[in-house]
Amino acid sequence: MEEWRHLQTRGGNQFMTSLDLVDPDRISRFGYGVITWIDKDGFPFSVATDFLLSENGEILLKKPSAPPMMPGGRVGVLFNHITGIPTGGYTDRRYMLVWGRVSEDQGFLKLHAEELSEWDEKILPFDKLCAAAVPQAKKYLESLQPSIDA
Amino acid sequence: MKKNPKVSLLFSNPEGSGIEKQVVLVQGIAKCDDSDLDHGWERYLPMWRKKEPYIDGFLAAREQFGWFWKRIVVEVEPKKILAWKNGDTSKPAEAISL
Repeated sequence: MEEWRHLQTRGGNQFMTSLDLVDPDRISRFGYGVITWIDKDGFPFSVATDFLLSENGEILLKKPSAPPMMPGGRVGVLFNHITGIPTGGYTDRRYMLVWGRVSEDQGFLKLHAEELSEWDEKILPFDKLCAAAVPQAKKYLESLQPSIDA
Repeated sequence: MKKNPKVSLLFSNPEGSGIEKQVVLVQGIAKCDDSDLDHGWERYLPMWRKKEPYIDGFLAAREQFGWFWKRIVVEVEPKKILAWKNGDTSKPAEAISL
């Protein structure tokens, strides 16, 4: 039931290593990561950077030139891929979104993963992803109904 | 976004942004318009068509893809723009405050 992994956020309160959460084979297929944190003005600050995996499964992000993060603050790191089809649409869509904290390590930012959500359309096709989101969509549309009726 | 409208848009992947070897971050205030999911987005169709000309094929089958054509319009008023020349994020970005 691997496809159902893609509908659930994993991690949270449990203590886990990055390797427990993130499949190293899957993450190694991405070319870069996008680190996001909240800057001093309260806006999300995102920057793309290269990354590598250490032999013991640590995710090491090349330190970008960017405003400092809050020490110990939470970050989101998005690894994503998409291929455009010349005649229209996209294929090979996949992402892994890792939430956690970073610490400096010899010019890199070591990612301490706490939560993960992911999607790969080769594992869970887009129509199935949409079907799984129907309850959430229904709840949202129901919340809009009073303003439509008014 | 309705609760916290501070957002950012990162254009870093040429596959999606069409910007070769450049990285641009736009920070701004988002306004979510979900008052008309079926027609609110239509005023932006010319811009959408310019970016993805094949969208007319989907539009022709609009009745079959009702869920696809329900759209929230999110307008972002830029407050600050940061750009990394040649996409080199190891060097400081140029910043423009608006």
